[in-house]
Amino acid sequence: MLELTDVTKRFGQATAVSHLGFTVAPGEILGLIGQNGAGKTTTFRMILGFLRPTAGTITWAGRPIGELPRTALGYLPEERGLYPKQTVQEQVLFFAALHGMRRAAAMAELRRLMAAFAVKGKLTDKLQTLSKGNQQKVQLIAAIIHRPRLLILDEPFSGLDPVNADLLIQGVRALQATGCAIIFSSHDMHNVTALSDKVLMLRNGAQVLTGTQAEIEAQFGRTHLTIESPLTQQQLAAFPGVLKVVPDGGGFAVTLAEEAAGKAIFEAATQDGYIPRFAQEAPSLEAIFKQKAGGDHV
Amino acid sequence: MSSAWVVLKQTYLKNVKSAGWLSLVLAPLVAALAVAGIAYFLVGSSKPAKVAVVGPAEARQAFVQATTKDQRYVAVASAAAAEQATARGDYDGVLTLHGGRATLVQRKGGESVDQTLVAAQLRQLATGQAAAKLGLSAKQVATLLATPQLTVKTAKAKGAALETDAGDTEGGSNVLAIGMGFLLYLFLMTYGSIIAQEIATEKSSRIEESILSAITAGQQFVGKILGIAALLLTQLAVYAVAGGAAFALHPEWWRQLAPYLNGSQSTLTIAALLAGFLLGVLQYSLLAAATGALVSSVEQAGMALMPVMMLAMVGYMASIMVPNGQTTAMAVLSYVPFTAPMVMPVRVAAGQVGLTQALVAGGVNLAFLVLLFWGTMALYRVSVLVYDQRGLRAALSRAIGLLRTSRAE
Repeated sequence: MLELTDVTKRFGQATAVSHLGFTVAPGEILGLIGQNGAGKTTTFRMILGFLRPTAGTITWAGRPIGELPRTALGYLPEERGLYPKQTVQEQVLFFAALHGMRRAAAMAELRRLMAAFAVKGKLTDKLQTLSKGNQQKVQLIAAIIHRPRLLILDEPFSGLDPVNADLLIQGVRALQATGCAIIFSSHDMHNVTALSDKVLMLRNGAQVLTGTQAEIEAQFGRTHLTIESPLTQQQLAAFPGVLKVVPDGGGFAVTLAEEAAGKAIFEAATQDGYIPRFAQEAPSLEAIFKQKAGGDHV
Repeated sequence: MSSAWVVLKQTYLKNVKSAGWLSLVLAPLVAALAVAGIAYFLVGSSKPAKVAVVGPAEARQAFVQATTKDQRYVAVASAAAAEQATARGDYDGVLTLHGGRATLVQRKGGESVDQTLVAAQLRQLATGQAAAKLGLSAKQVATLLATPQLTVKTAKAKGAALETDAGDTEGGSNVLAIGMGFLLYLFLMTYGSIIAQEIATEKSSRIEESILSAITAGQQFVGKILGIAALLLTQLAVYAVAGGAAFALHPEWWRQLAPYLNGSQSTLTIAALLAGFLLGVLQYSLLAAATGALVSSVEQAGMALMPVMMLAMVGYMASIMVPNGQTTAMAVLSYVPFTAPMVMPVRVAAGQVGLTQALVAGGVNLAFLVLLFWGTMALYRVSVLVYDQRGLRAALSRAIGLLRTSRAE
């Protein structure tokens, strides 16, 4: 299990990460979210040993993370980069060899992953001839070919279309099934929601949210209501406890100050019988993210 | 497989298959073959010049007897006949002797007439004619024209005496040393650039992070330096094979070179050259590697290497000035790292220093090399993932700051 305990990183007077603490167990996926400059990449670099924490500890199975063999680590950096003039096979086998894999095993795994991720291109194609999306998939393959025990993916969905994003999710789930502990960062809340077992949000280097999605949503209560009924926007806005009403696909999305305010709206909307839509739930992760990052009220 | 070995292999194979490196290695060989081919063609297709000689019978005969494989003289009875035959292309020039003067007319487009041979023969003719007028015998003429024999030896100071070495020719050692100095400078520029570009490319393409998640910066650094060293050795091996083949085809070249390779001074010179080459290449390779780690893009690498190349230029220029005589500056530069590998071997070749001084310089530079290795590796570790667009000086300053911070932590 990966464990960060009270980790802080300062660069001179600037604090990049402050009192960060979380765990990621084998087979668990942690989604790390935060604005640009929140400290996500700095956190990854400390886990990888590129940076040393100013304070706090990072351990794996109770031992300092530096004792974890690098062959057990997998990393997909945010800024993609491989050797453009080398072939797919040469590059991936190079990284496989760096991680201690034998050539035969690496070739077999490479073929399997090329098919699993539907990479359009041959093993003998030079990387620069592939599309950007396929280059990213090749780099992902290079990061996971050796079946790491701890995998860090920095913005893995960046530049991927929805189909390839789904393939990536499937690939990550397959790794999860092998017991790999996975941390990834993303700005796409849909993917974070789809993939994460738990979420951690950073803001200006500090931890502002942590827990499973259900736990996070529970912290905010069911204050988000979507409704399609005879009630007009003005009528909805007049209810006590209603903060905001905006059109939403034929109906309205209503933001409540508290859960209880929804009951009166339900009774008013259904007094004449059937209504096509009424859902009262916790705000979406995206809405929570925006609120915590300093945006609209949820 | 060791990670450093994986990096070494990858660095080596990536470059050895590249068109850039292949053309770098083959270009000198192709150039040498082209020059040799042209020279062979010119020598093979050239014929000895044929000169028509017009004048008194005795003078004509003297020239005919002076015919060599390089220049032929043919006696022609009249100037008109000689001119017509030359115009036809039978001769390459007409030499007309009249009184105490001679005129040589060369045909344009014909073989080149060696004027020094003509002049020498004329002098001989004139001397003979003058001796005959003075009534001197052939023996008296020979005595008159005899020049004292001059023997040249090179000696080095040994205590209060001079010790000569029969096999030494100082000029040859100097040429060898300066030639090797040029070769070293050429290799420094080439491989320094390759190393810096290699590191800068990996850094700017952001592949560095992926690599360093798998191995340590130290392992990567060692693998890369050794990979480049393997490339250098491959290039030297190609030249050694080519040179060996050339000498095998022309054994007479060995005989011409042998005098320069005999003697203790030559042995010391060759040893100094080899040590200087090795130390020089390693020192500059490490310096270039540090430069590559400090820049943020491939474009910056070229500019950042300029100071390194200028430093190499100082050493090279100093080495070619050594034969002009000893100076304090030369003496200092022959011990100082980065310049010593080029200057000290030439000073050894010139007989300005002996084994003791060469060993001291070697020891100083070897110790410096070890320190440079560790320093460069430390710099590489802290810099290779840091991107600073402000330039080399700012990047170096930041790297030093990071080194201090990491030591404090």
